[in-house]
Amino acid sequence: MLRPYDIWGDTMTWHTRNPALLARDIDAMAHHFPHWRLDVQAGPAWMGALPSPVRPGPPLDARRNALRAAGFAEVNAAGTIYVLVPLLVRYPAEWPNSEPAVQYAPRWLDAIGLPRYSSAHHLVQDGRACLYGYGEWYAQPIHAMIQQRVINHTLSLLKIAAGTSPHEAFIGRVAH
Amino acid sequence: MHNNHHFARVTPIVGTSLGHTRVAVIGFPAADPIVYYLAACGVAHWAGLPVTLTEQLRAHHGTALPLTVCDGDAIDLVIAVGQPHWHAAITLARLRRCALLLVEPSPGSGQACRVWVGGFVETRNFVFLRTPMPAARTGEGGSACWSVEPEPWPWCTSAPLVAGLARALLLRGTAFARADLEALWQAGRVAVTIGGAHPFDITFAPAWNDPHTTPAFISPVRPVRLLAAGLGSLGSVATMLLAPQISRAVLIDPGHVSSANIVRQAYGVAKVGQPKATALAAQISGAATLALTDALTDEQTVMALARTVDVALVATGSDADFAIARGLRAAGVPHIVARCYPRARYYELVLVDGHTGPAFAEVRGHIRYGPTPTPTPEQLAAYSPHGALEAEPATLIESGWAAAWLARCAAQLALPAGLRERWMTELLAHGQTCLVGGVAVEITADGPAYGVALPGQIHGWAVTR
Repeated sequence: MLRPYDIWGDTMTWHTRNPALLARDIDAMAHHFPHWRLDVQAGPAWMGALPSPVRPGPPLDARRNALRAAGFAEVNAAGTIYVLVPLLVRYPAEWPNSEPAVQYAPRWLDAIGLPRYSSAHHLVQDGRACLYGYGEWYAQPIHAMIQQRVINHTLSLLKIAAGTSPHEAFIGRVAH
Repeated sequence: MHNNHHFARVTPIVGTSLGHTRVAVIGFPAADPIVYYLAACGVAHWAGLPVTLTEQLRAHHGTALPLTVCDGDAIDLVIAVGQPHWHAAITLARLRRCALLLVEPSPGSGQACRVWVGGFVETRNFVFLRTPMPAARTGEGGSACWSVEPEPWPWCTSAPLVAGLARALLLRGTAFARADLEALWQAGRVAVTIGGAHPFDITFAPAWNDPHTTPAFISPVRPVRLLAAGLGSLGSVATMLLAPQISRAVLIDPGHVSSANIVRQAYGVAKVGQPKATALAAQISGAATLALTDALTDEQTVMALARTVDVALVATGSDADFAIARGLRAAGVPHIVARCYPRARYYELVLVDGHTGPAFAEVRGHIRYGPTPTPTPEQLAAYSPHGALEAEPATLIESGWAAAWLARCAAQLALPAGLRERWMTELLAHGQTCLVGGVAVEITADGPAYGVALPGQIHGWAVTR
């Protein structure tokens, strides 16, 4: 859980202590998410778009139109439409012992008609995805975390945008 | 409740009804910790309290807890610690038609900790407990409540659970009733045993089992040179539990005592506004103390400080735990990194035996504990523009149990390997260096949260390599 402030201050960053860990993540991300970009100024953090398949039809079409109007792209590959979901994945200070912060672009959430924060949508604090329960984080490479948790979260949000209830979209794991 | 700010972090857990309950207690000084734990939850009306204990409670809580001494005419619960007091307690409970909690310190090794929750009498229930032999209370000043003789660690780690059972009796029928305990009692599982062959054992059964009679090796009490980083609900209470055997203490916390800290931390109301490190140092008598009021995040500084200590407690509740643990590991100092989960329903202790076994960073985030419980209201508050709350509510019964185990484990790790008790030796030998305990049980769709299937259960988790 994020703390608004921390009187104990910051410690030496993880990648300074263990540069090999960052190098390993860079290699794996280049393989699994080659279009993502590493921003070292931000902490470091990964920025990129996650292609997420959608099924055309109302009410999602109206949401897709709104996304396109707001400048967010989608692609058509072999007849399947993929919405490109913009994400920022920030490493925590103690990676990989703590979970990274995964944030949707707030403007994307606004455009598709989803809230920036909602327990039903597993979104906290300005579009940050709540991916793990307390103590549930398990150390893993950044690309694996995106594959195993973020993709599922994104698909659930797109289901909600398409009219599915949050309870159903998150297979009952909704806390109100 | 009596004082909104004083009990601000308690009220969400237990409501305000405890301020109106009346409890009679027999069996002092062994029963002292039970009184302190319940008073910290707001129980203010007592029968049978010794004058010195009453004064200590007043010194700790001040006017926020309006203590009154009642005469036993209208009692909601009778607690008796020690079998010689049972007859009188049963007589009083029958006369007043109130709930009863009987505690029998188990004889023998001190490791066996047996609890018997008895049957129900009419609509009221009787609770019989067997626990380790309580010790005479010792301590200094207004916070003597936190000091016990180091010998009876089993009682030290049982008392919060016993107090939790007492509180559950007082809260029956309210919105804050303990559903997990209620289900056990309704199923007739009213005989509770804490400890036994292993100090983590806990059973709820229909009848009292035979006591565990295998003699156990009890570690000798030796002076301890302690470093404690983070002096909140865990660090301050654990430090005071260890105080009688501390010869030197390095106490570190950049925070100050607030009025909301009193109910869960080892500071009386007179300490409000003072730096936590200096306030706690003043409460440890007969030991050399070094109070540091700056945040400790630099590993080199940690290593320098660690040269003069035998064991360290790390409970900053922040990522600084990692840096401090790295420094302690580099210095080869045994240490325990502790944290409570939301509302202190569960706690986690990571034991690091100096250079031996896995380091803290090899444990935290590398073990799957099982399903997670329902988010607390405070966690749900994170789904708002304001974000997560800085301080979450909990009571001393929950966080105090974690602190007691933190202190007990620290006392073990401070010893040479050959003087440690068998349970600790086995935990370390098997790599089970991550302890997760739960005060209460929550059954999720995937099983009990964090694998805790009984109130008071503790699991020792190992890293799978």
